[in-house]
Amino acid sequence: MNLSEINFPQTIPELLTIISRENDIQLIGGATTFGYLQATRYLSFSNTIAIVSRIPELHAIHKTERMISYGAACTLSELEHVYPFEYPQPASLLRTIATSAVRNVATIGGHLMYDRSFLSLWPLLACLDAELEFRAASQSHIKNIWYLVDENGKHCAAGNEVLARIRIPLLSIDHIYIKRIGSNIFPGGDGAHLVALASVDRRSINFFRLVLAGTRAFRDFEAEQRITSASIPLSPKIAQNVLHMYSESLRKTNFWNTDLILPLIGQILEDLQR
Amino acid sequence: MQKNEYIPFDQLEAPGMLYACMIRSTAQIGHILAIRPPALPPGYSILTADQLPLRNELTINSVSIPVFASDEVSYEGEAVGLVIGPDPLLVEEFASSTSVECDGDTMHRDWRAFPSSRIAARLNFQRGKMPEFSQDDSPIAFTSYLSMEPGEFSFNSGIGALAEWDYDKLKVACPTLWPEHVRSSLASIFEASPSDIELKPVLMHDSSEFYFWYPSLLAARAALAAWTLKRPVKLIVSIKREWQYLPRVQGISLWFKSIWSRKTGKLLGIECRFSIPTGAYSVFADTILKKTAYLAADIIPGLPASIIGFAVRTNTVPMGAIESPASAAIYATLQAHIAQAARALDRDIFELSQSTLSRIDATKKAGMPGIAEIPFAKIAKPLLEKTDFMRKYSAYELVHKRNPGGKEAVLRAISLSLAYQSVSDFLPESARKSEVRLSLDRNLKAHIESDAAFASERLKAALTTLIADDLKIPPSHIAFAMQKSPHPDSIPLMSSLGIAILGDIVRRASARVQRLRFREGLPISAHAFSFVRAKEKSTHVLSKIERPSLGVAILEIEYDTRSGIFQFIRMHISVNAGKILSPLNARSAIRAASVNTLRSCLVAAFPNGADRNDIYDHILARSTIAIELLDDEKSTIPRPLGDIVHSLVLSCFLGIMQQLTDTTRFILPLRPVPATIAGGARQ
Amino acid sequence: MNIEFTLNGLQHKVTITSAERAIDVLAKQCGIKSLAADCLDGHCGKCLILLDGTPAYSCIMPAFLLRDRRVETIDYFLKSREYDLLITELHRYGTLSCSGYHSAIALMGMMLLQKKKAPQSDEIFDALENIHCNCLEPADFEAAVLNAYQKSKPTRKQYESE
Repeated sequence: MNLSEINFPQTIPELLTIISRENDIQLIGGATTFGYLQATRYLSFSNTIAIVSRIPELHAIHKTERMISYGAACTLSELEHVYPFEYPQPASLLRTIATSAVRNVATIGGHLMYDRSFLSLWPLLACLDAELEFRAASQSHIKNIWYLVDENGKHCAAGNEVLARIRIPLLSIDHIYIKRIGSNIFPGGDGAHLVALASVDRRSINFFRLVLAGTRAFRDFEAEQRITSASIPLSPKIAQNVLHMYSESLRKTNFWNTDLILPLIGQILEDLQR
Repeated sequence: MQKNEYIPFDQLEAPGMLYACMIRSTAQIGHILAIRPPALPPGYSILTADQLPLRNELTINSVSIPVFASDEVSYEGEAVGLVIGPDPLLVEEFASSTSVECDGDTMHRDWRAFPSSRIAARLNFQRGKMPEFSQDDSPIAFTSYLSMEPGEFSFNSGIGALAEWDYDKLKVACPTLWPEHVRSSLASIFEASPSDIELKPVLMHDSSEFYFWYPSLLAARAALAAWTLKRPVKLIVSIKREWQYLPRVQGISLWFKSIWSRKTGKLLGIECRFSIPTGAYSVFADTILKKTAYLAADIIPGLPASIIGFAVRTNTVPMGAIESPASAAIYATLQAHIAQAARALDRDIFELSQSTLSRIDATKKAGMPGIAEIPFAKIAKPLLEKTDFMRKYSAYELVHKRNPGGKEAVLRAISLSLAYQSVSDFLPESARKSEVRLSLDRNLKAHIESDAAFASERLKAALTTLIADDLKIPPSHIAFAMQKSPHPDSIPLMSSLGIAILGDIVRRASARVQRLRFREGLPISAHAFSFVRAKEKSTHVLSKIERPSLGVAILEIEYDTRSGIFQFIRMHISVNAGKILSPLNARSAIRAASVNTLRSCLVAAFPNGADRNDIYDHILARSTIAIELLDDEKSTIPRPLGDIVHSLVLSCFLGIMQQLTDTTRFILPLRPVPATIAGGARQ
Repeated sequence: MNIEFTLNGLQHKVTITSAERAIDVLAKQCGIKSLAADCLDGHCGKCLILLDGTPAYSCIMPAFLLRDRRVETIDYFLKSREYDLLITELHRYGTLSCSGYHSAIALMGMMLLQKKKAPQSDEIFDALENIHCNCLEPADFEAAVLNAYQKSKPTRKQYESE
């Protein structure tokens, strides 16, 4: 049985002090993954653990005119009635992650930082160009969520920095497309989510984002650029061009089932025009 | 509210009790080279087969299973011993970190393609002559293949066993539906008399219906440990750690052919080859083979049929469900062929189903009522109207014919199945005896002495309602107790045939008490029993049960063609099963069986939990399963439901698959389209 | 280390290690018998507790997360009038036929009865989804909870006015 030293920091500076002091430390939010993944009756953690779920600053939800930010220790249930989960498809996505008994304890920070795969909300927040605010000893960094993706499309760890907040620009979204594909998402199955968001203004596409994430994450920024500012209805040439770009970029990864995904992207482009 | 006097297993304790957890060989099979536990603190010990002073053998229906693997591990996860100590969590920890080294024999897991040396049992059923082609009526044949993976039991009971010796008397508490087998097998191991073994009833949960011999093995392990250590031992099972090594519901690999008359639309014959995995020890292999075959062969009396089946031994956990979706596989495939024939011969699907399955039995058996034409229309027509089946079916068929799954992103489908469950020989031949002693005292408290004391809570609740109604006493005045004189051949109450027989016996006993109480005064006692030998003519009870249970089901779904995921599931089931002991309990039993069957069609759990389609947890939780129980006014006893629900749901599911994709290959569970290319998913 | 938390209205101080799951501490040190650690997966629901009023699986939760929280099990509600009303309705609809889930079903029902407004269908199905009982008919559970809620209204009004 591995026993760990347990710390309950009350503030972020206190947490950072503990981190700087310990070599082998694990930050715990809701701990829902550990209890699920570990088959032994007794749980095992690193030598030192710090419980972040009770730090008030990490629980706060702030909203301004342009942005909403959640503390990393906000539970998934606490997000149910805030942007973007006011929209029906994201709300439905949130409910399919797990039962409410898990959502009441699991934190958004833990959800995004799970390093074996990209869990259900990750591609949605990536489409929203969410930013992650990390705190280190003397400074804080704000990085785009794509920072967590390495060159192979896999989840990479964030080092000794503490994820403090998730910042999401408030966008007006006209089209939301969320599709679950494959089988198991958690703890690391074949499953993935394909998420696409678009905004249309005066028959012109304001923005278009498409993220595919499961064991790996995928996004083609150039294809998105190609379609942004295009007129609705899309000309066959543009639609074909965009599909071709996605086909090429998907095949390059040598990972995704393009026979499944390309028709879905085609469907997304068709739905855009309705 | 009914008082529940039974304690859940996890709350059972005995003074000086030790806990035990099983050490399993999870990595290798073959000859055992070494068992390496971690360093154990004082008070903790290991027990293995070589330390056992007595027989290391449990016999179930003439199949021998070692209590602990001694020289050789036969399957992944076979128990080789126990870790025993005072703290249950530490015991579990030590058991999980004990490694077992074997010489690494090749594991045989495949039960679809197998050498003859791995055949544990075979069945060859031939009846009549297959139709020949003639000019007047050239038959049309359909073939299909169905594969169902072995599935997991839902071990919702706190399974395990607590054993304590009191000199030469053994006291055992374990959740079991077959107490007589626990007693007799322990008596055999310890060379004792069954009357020296006291079995204590434990609270039995209702998903326990699938497994019935496994508790005997757990009881034997606990009893041997208690004997060796001279202290009470409670054997606990960690579902999380051990679920993949616990007995499974068997799968099936089935090739099926049906031959039809083009002219009349009549089914002329069926041919079928199937194999089922039995795991390392082929418990009840013959029984399961027969049941699977006869469930289909008995449906249409006199129909030419050729059914060949094999039970295949594999190096996997032993299988052990008598009633399971796999048992209904042949029947369900036949139903799928009826739908196929309806399309090919341009017939109404309901009319064809009804005419195929409702034949009059020309071969009336002496001394038994003939099986009259099955009145499906009576129970099906209201359901067809309620679900608007015919209109939807025609509309969806038209869509699929026009453009089978092409551009449509979401397809709808609807299917119908009819089933009837007749009495078939799905119990061990000798195990058909049950007895009840019912007594009523002056305080109007009823006492029932029966193996029903070991039944599931659902059955006990139903019997309680029956007795309370018959004797006009409050349910809280009814208590169950163990039989004083154990019967060597009593039936495991997991079988719905057993439940039907017991329901009738209890009804007869309470009727007798009610008749006599005013004439002879209280206290009064009545004794009723049923005794059926395979070779004897049917008793009064069995002849009533000969009338079949009927069922109709309609399944409607929405299917995402791209991802291969069912988005929406709605099921309607109507069942006519005679007098229902408790409608609420019957509905929940039917619902549980329906969900289990749908899960075996949709959710992969074996062998690898990572492949599990967790998406269906949410979808199935939101699905609608509407159940209607139809009253059979003429009936006075319940009829067995048996596999009727499995048959209905599986048939509907295969019908849906055919409607969506026109497939003749049914590979279950149905996996969604993989999101990643082969091999990529595991990176 | 020592932690304190409120369990069924009473303050508890227990000594725990990082390795223990919440359910084991609640069972061994606090004497709670209404929970079962069957699956240890956050799947079956027999370990459900109310953590600050919302459901949580105590089998996958480390014990240290109980610190300074309010925990309730079904034992807390056994003597209340709402509990009697709920159980009567649950029995009437046959939702307690599967005995392994009595405590979990009743606890979810009691959680819904604590709400100020009548629980909506979505909330009821969300609560029920935490329990993996195949024989439980959601519509019956919903009807039982709503009936019990209606019948408990006089009691509720009295508490609110006080």
